[in-house]
Amino acid sequence: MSDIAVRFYELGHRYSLSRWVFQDYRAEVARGSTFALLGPNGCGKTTLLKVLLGALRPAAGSIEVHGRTAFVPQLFQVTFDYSVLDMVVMGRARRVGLFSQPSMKDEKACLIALDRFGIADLAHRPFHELSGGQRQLVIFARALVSEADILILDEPTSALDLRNQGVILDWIHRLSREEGLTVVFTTHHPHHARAVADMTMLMLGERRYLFGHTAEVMTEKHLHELYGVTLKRLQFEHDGRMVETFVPVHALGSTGVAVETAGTLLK
Amino acid sequence: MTDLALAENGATEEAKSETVSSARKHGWAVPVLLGVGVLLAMIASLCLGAYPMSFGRAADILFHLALPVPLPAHPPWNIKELTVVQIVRLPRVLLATLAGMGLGMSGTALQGMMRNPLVGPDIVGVSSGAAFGGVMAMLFDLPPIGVIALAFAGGFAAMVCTYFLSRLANRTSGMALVLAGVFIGAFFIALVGLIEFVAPDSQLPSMVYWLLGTFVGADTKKVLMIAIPTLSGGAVLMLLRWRINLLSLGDLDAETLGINVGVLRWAVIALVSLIVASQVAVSGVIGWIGLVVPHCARMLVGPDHRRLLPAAALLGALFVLGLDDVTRSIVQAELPVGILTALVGTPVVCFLFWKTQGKGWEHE
Amino acid sequence: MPKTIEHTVGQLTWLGPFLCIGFVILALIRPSPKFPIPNHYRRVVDASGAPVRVALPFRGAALTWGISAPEYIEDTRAPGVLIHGGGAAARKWFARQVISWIYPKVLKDDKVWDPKPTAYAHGPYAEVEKLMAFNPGAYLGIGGGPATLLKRAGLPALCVRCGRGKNWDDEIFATARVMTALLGDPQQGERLIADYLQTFKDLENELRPSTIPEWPGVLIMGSMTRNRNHLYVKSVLNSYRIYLPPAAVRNASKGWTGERQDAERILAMDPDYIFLVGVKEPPFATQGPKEFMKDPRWRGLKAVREKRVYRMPGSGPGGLAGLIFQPMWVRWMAEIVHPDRLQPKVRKMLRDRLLHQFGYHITDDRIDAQLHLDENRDSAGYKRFTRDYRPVEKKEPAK
Repeated sequence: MSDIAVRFYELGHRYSLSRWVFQDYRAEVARGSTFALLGPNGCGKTTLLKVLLGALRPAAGSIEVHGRTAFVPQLFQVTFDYSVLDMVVMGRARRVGLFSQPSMKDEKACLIALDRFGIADLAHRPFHELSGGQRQLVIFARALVSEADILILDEPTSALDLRNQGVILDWIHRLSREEGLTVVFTTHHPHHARAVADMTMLMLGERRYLFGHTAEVMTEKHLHELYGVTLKRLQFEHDGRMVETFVPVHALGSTGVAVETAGTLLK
Repeated sequence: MTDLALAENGATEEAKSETVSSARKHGWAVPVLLGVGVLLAMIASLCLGAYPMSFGRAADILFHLALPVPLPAHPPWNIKELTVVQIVRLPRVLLATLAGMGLGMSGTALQGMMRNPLVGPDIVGVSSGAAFGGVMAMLFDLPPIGVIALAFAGGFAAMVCTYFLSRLANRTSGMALVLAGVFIGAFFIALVGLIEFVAPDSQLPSMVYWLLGTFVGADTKKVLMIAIPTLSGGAVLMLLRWRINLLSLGDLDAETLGINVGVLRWAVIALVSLIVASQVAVSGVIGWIGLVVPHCARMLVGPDHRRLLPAAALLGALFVLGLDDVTRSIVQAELPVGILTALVGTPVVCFLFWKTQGKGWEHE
Repeated sequence: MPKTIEHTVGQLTWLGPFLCIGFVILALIRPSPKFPIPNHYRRVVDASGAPVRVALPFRGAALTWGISAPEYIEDTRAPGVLIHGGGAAARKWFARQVISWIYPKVLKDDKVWDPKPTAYAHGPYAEVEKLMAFNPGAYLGIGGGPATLLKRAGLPALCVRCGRGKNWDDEIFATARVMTALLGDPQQGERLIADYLQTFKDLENELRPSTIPEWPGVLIMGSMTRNRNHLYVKSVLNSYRIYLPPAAVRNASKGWTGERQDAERILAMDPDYIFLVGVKEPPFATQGPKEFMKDPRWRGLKAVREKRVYRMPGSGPGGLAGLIFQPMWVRWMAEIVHPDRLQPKVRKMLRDRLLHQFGYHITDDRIDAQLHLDENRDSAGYKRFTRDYRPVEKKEPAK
């Protein structure tokens, strides 16, 4: 088996004949690395994920996926009020015969996975009652028991509060380092990609993209081109280590300049 | 660090998890109790009727009849009692039981597969399609296998139409499916009306009465007609029941978990159509059961289809058997059970509608 | 490991009820229970040709779907062994028949009649249990209906007519033969049939239908009072058809007609005579001649202009009267249509035959009621059916 987990080759997709969503995309993601997909709304991130998952057939080019994928959707809702354990057990679908039910062994594996995420005590709680972060972890546990090699996350942090964003990012990091999983995720937050991704792809336009190591790809210039917003690179010291992040700087009408997170203009 | 973040909610969780898992704790005890309940209800139903019969006597006769050994030479019962049980009442009781099982199972499977707790065989148009096939078969005087085949074809066609129509709505929201079912159902009801219009006078009354849903006139032939598809199709559905959990997650999710959603979905649609068609072919359209019973079963054993599907089958049997007993005994004139189920079912469905509206059954 | 066991049990619980129900279904495949052969029995061959053993002493008859109590009594004269005559509707129907005047006790006997309406309309098997509980000596039925199932269970069920005859005559002969054989007096059936045939022969001799060049067209129909658009026409294929040639009339209706008939087609048929069937009493009352002739829809009809509309005696919403009454009503029709060829004999015939067959003296009032004199009095030529009618006018032109 090669060391490549995912490879795009001249990949393209379109919903109508006239308009390509993206075209001629090339990328290679090594096994065990973390790959972030960045782009503005409507640039085709979700479409690319669907192609990656095999739910859509690419209209042009080819895609290679080496290994089993597990998907964590952006907003996970279920119609029926399954318990957490029921949800996690579903990850075992590949290992359970067509006409059989999961065994005690399967359930035990699920409990171990839940324990790994520190939520074993939630096993018999209804999935509905969990918080957004807890749900994400349950789906992570499900991905773990499904013995997937590639974890695909659609905006894993978008619906979470700041603290839980941190928890999820930490787990993305740990899963790729400790479990050797390849993680592919999309995000709107450049600093999240900067924090955990080894490789990053910026989806600039139909044929334009940038792909490479996160540190190389994510520059103020590129990000400005991507979002049409000025992003400032900030470096500061935290706990004795240098940290780098990106902060958007919005022009707010007559008041001059405001910074998205920091609030208002300082004289 | 991560555990800390989540443990914040943990304090209140212990109390909650106690009540929540209660359904799971006696998860398998409920189906056992329901199974015993169904058998007792069957025996009790054998006691109802113009000819007097005690519970013990009915149980005794049923036990001896069901054992695959010859009947005793000098039985404690008289021959009229045996005739009443074997030829008159048992076919009807079995018909009601099997129809209820079939409707309970198919309703549950449909709700799971379509991820929508507001559907049932009659809502997505399967029943209307099967009814159309049934009246066609009656018009041409087809043998039982022909009736089932046409009813199956009609039910399957209606279901496929509904499914694709709801897909046209682009988002598989709950309401699109229900609306598509209403459209397709209305179309097939119109076709049924057309057949009724061209049917000769001699066939019309029996068609109309059959369409209302009735277990009157049960005999061995009809029981076999419903039993073979319901028990065999139901057994396959039972084996697939855990996969319905997966189907209920949504296409993309289920696909990435490694199951073949397309094949599985069509298999479930075909099985449901078969079961509903056989029910409609022998006893006409019996509405609402397929919608209401899964909800009641979910209250008893929770949403996991591994426990839900058997429970819904048994609860459906109990439900229909009970309603048929009511039409046979309390409501003296032989009221078609389909009318009674609609009368009882509609308020329940309204209640469910009110309750589920707040919940997130419309999503994606 | 009890948890593993619980797990397995949990997974297989559904199988239990499935298997139980499967076993119970197998019970239906067993052969039907066989009733023991009675020690003393009478062997009766029913209309389908099947021999039936009827235990002696005879415990009585229960009527099932398709057989009416007047029919049974007319053929057997044995109201005492009638165990079940039918439901509430059958009792009402019985009360309208002449037979109920002759045997008023049957009408009053609550044991014979079930107060609940019968459910035969809801399928052939609806009433089987009730019938079994009556425990009679024999069940009488027609092809299909509960009798078939009772017979399969080995109970003494007789099919008195099975739709095998070429026409209605064959069917009512078969009925008379099976019923009288059941009561152990087959000769009585033959006597009834011979008498019936003789009456028709007498009519033929007097009327000589073959010498009448053109037979008038008649329409036997009904029109509900509650819903005037609900029209019913006895078609050319109806059982009534064989009683039209002996009266030297032809059916004016064309093609297959039935429940759903519209007024326009009746206007197109334009019969010479209209005979109204159905009952006077609500809820299923049908229009009488007076009401019918007033109906603006029918103003253009030839029969209405010439007041040739009559309510038929002895006919219900579909049933035919049996062996004794049928020939009299045919003569009644013939006398109306061909008054010049026939002596007015209907009143006398009714009186004589009831006396002869049942030893019953019918009063003039009751004859009037049977002939619907109250309704038919104003219709053309109905004077001859009044009690004080003397056929004098006919002789005058001869002088």
